Amino acid sequence: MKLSSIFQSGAVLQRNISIPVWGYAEPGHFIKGELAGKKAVTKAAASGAFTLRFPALEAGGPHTLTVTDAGNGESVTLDDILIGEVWIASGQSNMQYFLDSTWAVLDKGGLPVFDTYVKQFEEYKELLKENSDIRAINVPQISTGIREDSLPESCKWKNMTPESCGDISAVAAWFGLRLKQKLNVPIGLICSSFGGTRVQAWISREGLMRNPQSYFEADQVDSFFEKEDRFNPPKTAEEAGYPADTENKGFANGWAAIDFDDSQWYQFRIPGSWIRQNIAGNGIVWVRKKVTLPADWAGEDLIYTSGPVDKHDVVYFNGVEIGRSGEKYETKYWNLPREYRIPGNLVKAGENVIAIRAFSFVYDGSFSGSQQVYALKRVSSPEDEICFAGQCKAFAETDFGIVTAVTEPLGPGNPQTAGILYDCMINPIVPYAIRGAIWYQGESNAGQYQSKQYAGHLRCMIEDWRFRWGQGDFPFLQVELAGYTKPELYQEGGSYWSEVREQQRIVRDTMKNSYMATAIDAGEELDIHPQDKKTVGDRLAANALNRVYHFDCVPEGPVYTSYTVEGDAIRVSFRNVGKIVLKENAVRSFFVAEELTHEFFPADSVTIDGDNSLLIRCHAVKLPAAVRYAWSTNPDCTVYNDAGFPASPFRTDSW
Amino acid sequence: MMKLASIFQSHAVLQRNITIPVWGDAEPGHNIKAELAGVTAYTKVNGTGSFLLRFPVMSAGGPYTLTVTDMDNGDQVVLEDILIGEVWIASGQSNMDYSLDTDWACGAPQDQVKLGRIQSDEYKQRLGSRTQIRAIIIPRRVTGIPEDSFPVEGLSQWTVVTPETAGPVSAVAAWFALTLNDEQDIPVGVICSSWGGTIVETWTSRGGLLRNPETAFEVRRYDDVCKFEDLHLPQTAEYMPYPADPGNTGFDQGWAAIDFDDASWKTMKIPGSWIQQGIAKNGSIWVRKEITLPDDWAGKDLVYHSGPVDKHDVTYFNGVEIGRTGKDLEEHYWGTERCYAIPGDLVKAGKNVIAVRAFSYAYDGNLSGKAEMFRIERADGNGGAIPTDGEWKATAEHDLGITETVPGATVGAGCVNGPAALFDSMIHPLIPYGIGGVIWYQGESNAPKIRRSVRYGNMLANMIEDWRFRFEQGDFPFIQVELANFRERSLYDAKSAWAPLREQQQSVCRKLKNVYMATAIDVGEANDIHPQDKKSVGCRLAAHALKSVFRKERVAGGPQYESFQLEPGGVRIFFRNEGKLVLKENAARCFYVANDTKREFIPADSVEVDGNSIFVRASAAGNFPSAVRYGWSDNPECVLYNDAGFPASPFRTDCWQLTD
Repeated sequence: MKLSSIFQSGAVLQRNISIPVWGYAEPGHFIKGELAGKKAVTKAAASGAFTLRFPALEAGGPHTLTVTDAGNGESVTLDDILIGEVWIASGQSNMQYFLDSTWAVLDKGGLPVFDTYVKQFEEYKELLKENSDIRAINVPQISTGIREDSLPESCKWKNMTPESCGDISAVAAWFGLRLKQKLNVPIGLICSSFGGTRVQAWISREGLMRNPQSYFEADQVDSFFEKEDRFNPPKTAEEAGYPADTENKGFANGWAAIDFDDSQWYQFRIPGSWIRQNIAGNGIVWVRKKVTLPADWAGEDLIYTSGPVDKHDVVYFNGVEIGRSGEKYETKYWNLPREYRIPGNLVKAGENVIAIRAFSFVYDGSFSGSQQVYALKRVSSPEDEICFAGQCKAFAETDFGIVTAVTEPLGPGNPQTAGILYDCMINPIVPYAIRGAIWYQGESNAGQYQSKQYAGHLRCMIEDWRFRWGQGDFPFLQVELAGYTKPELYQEGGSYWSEVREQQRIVRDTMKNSYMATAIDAGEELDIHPQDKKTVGDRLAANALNRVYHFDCVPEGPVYTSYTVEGDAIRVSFRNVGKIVLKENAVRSFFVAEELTHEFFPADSVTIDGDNSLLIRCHAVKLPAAVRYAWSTNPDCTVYNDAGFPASPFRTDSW
Repeated sequence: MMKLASIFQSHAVLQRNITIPVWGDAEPGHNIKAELAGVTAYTKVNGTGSFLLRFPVMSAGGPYTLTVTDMDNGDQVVLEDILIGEVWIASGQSNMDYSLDTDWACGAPQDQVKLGRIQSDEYKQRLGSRTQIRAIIIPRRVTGIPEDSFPVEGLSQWTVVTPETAGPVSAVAAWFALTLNDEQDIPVGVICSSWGGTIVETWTSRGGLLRNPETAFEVRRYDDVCKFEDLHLPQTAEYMPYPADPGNTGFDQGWAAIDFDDASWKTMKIPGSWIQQGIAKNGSIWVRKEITLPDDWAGKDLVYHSGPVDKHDVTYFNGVEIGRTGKDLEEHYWGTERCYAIPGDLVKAGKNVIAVRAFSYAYDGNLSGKAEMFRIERADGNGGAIPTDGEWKATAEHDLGITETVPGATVGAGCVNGPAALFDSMIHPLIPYGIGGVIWYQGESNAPKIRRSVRYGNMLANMIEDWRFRFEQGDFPFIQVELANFRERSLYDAKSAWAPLREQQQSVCRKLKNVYMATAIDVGEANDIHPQDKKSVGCRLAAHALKSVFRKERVAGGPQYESFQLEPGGVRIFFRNEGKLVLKENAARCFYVANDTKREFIPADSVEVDGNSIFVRASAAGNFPSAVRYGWSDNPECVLYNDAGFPASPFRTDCWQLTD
């Protein structure tokens, strides 16, 4: 008998609703469960599957969960189970982005800027010291094309501590922390997101079938079954024509040696991507870092640990190789952390040199993971660590330029395939009891034709998930896309991103228990991944605290509801949400259209009139017919409320 | 090790014109290859050992062989005689259950009993030697857990429907299949999954029930029950807190015999409760009644009718068993009338004795119903009925005392009407088998009171959406049967609970895509909830499928009320209709009219056809009649038809609140 792998010691279960616990046992056996003094009984179906259902429980713990196969006495006991608030965090890269993600944004000179994330990460760790019992589980990114019922065993619940929290979604982490601060109950975060993916990937085949705009994609999925090799590893990298590793010229040139002069090399920062930091494209890059060791470390055996190296590495310490991972076209190491041993005879007091030869034949080339894992420690007393993350030197041995990835056709292995992430990354979680879901996605659905279909797809996904979870219309909180690319006050004809945001608002307004936090003013001109995830997490939390937990707080910024034409002015009314506050020169983001021509002109004046409406005028427009506000991919936000939340962009027309 | 889901068997029909899902279990990670009609499909088994693949769209044809192979260990399953055609699920309650050979002639006049037999014979004759009609009967069971498979034995095997094998197949489904096969000449498979006396909530999944606020609370209540450890277990003797039947010891003591001396027994009034009358508590009792039969009844076949026995009974006539209903801890016969045939060789002139052994393990113990339900009649219908109600002799066989009833036990596992119970056991194992659509005959059990009837549309729509979602093939056609006329004929009854249920059925057709309705409003019987005429129902369902799904030109149903218009002196009513409206003679008495101030319905003075509308006059309703109701009773008289012979569905133009 075993439980589905999401059930582990250290898990958080949802309070106040009945709790399903499922797994597999001998067909026909009676299964008994006990959790926090409550009992449940069921029977395994002919396939061996069973689902126990415990009654609703109050927040608390730690409890023990025991499940016993009454037919043969087999038993599983899980300890340290907490009852609290469980949320799913899903979406694409902006949800995936870790607290310590090294996807540094670039400044105008193309250099990485880390300030915001470093500051926010430090602040988070500080706050975490006073807020325990926030736990998270990272669902691995899989796209095998087979519907899975259980997560891989390797995927574990973890308790978030300053030391362990680095690889958790920053948006989810901030969201969870704010809930914890207000509710003071255990928080569980199930993080399941995949960068660069379309919403269709997250909808089950059945969900796709129900939407005329995605019906054909479900048909495509059916065609996977036609060929024998579709479900097995596709082409090898060699067949794909990726460049091979070359002779180790760097070592021959003495680049590993302690006394090599690297002053002419480029500045590089680890963790980080050498491609994004413009050291080289795909190929072989050497990184050197001087580390100063205390006198009492000399001659001691050390352990070298680093985050994942994408894809292969050879590591030298004072000119001698201490370990390597990956050869030829192996891909399995790209996201695995490294640990090598340094024999004591290499270790000196004072200056020592770590040199890493890293090789990547396609996609990114990077050192990732949290800063803390880039460290040396003594075998004898591993609690003292010397961290070597941060500035170092780097130089390309061989630069292949950016290697074009051979795109997998849609199908198994390609996360863009409709339904595929539902099958591998959501289905194994269903029907784990949850309070709701937070969702940050849409960038990959912005495009010609695509943008305008987003609401249909997203609505379909929400209905799909809610249906499958079988716990009613659970709250669904999405993030309105952040501003991105060159700031503009207005884009005639709109932009794909404006369209996606409009579609997001349609979903917010037309579905029960569906809410939205905006990131419109928290974006970055040059990076699709804004560093400021704290604002996003905080706003999601504010929304949840008011809408879901009924706290008396402001959930969001002013929400456009309706307009009326009043002579030469247009009155725009907003829903709820505190007092409207206009920034200086707020009128610059408002544009007014003439009735006959539908041509938009910058507004002359915007004034607050009454509690919840604005009057907008434009002298050039005698017969005003419509207003658009913040209508561009990266607009300037000038309307807020007194709680500091911005209004979402809007337009009164539907042209 | 590799095996296919239980619905995949030799002789099965697979759905044409959509991709064909085939699923099963095998070793995790193994590669699976399947071949059907010269087409090969592949997939891989997931981490927990299940796989699903889809064949591309195929046209009707066969027989084919379906071969599924585990490419890693060579395991293989080969299914023979597979046809590609139309696959329909037939579901609902007893009227869908009712098989070609059913002889549930409870209370029905003899000519109706004959009708059932005549239709069954006609069916077998028309079936002839064809092999394209296939059927499978999903076993009736409640396990309390979502099942992925069902036991494959006996009737739960795909069977070629022939005159020899047709008997146990649902009569409605059988006529439906035969009509489709006649008209289309393609294979037709029916999956019969129905259970008498069931409510729509039991056929909806847990998730589906939770999506509807009107049913969500029932799920929560069920969850509460699960707190009691024992209640979630199936109600077998081993796990139920109720006592088992200690066994029939009375028969051995001669209690059934004609000459047994029951003078020392107590007297019990039937219909009545033996517990309330102090015969015994829960447990088993015997009752005996002496009846005197006329001389000319001797040697004639008789029929014994009785009201419901709560819960099980064995019935004897002159010492010989003539029938029994219920066993173990089955609970669903407590409200069912009994009807057993008495062979002529047992029947004597003068004194005869009926003896009944009744067993109840919980709640009340009784022989209930109306007095006139208890009677003996001649099978040939002559000679009237001899009543058997009144005073019987009675004694306890095993008095078990008053059984402690566990709160909520009726919603525990094992109860057919628990939320999602039959969905889990009888529909879930079929998902996502490729189907052409569903035929559905249910609603009687959701109409005990108006306040329940008026919630039906919402719940049925919810169930349809639930099934459609789970079957993963879009909005498949769903054809329901409008409840037949039943109970005493009445032209108007404001307190009818069936009329609003029919209204709710109609509303589902308007609300959801691809939902149709065949009416049984004119084929029912006043004294039997199970009309014998299943041929009409099956053929009308098929007419809808042929017209709406297969796009055949034809009239498939009767006039459906669409809108009304107030005009001086009367109300004009418009219909959605194919064909011409036809009124029977003296039709006005079936239309009831009210005005807004009084809201009292009185018969109309006249009604006349005018194109696709009718005009209803009622001077007594004042100058401003504002609402019309037609056929508004449990058993209305149908006077409005179209020229194709289909009756109009009952309707009302008002939306005033109905109360019990």
